[in-house]
Amino acid sequence: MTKLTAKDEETVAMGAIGVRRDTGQLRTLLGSCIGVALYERRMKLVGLAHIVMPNSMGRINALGKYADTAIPETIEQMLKLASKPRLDLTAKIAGGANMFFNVSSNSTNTIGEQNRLAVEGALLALGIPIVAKHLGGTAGRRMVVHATSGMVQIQIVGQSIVEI
Amino acid sequence: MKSLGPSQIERLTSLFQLGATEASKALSLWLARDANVCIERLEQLSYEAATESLGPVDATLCACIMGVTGGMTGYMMFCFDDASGLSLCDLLLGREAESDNWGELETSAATETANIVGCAYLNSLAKAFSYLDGSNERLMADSSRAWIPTPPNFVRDYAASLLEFAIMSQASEFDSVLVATTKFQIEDRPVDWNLLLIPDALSLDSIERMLG
Repeated sequence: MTKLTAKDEETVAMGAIGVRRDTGQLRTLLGSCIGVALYERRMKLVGLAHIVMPNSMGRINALGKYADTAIPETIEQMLKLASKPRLDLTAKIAGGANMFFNVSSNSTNTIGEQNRLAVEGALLALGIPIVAKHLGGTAGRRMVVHATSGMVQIQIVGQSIVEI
Repeated sequence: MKSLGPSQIERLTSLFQLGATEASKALSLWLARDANVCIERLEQLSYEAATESLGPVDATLCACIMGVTGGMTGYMMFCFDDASGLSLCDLLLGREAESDNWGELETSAATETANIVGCAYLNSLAKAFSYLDGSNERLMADSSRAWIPTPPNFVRDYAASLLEFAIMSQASEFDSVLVATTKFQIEDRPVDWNLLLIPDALSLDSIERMLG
């Protein structure tokens, strides 16, 4: 197995977007947020958005934070990296856990579900098929996206890595 | 919420320190030995910095999490790594040998510690804030003003995932989050337990108004 260097791995922070082409990985850690991995197979191009909230309500700062702005912005960044006018994308999504299910005292106990619905709606509106999902539950996830293959690995603490 | 100024942060830190003093007393009684809980820092952080406030984002941490309702709403989290959590349990259970895994007894000892220290901390904070907003202790008996914790929930997960969920309510409204970090010390030995109090967006607005 090829050893990865720090240069090959990029961590995508909460509310941020990462894009890569040809090699390496994008990774993020998710709780109730949703990670959206977009993949263009022929160009070996990936984008990863760490979506925090369902709707921007017209806000134009922090585009990576909201489902309705993060997905178009990820596509925009992928188009720039590819220098192409159009991409043939597929999506894999993960996250949306309800981690503190028995201590939640307010609407945050449904935020994972709201994020999931918003992400699925945004992808549908853009005509991007969702080819794999790893959603819900009560545990956080580490999500790793490989640029070469578009493979997404999910790890939950205490469990084996799952490929989707 | 706008950024709090240095004098507002200082005032808020003093209030949180009152809570920590009561938490120290409760922890000392519970462990039957000298214990100190003190505010290490009170900060407004970006999401990224907030998720890193417990160390490496992909480190596995344990947490006893309590929801807070009533006069202040949000989350209180006691966070610790396996070794620090189990060492406190050994101390509490009077064990010589070091435990190396989380069983029912250890989980119960950790959540009970969180419950006792957390309740003392919240009660004292609620009292301090009642003076700040011009209400009084009699009104604190009203459950809408008292700060009431839910029973603690024990979880073991990635540090960033734990923080992410707790700061979600602030993240919905603001681009930065307010995090109070507290350290524990037992008989002059630092114990790597952190207590994080994370008010939600609604409570942050109230806090800002009270600070003027």
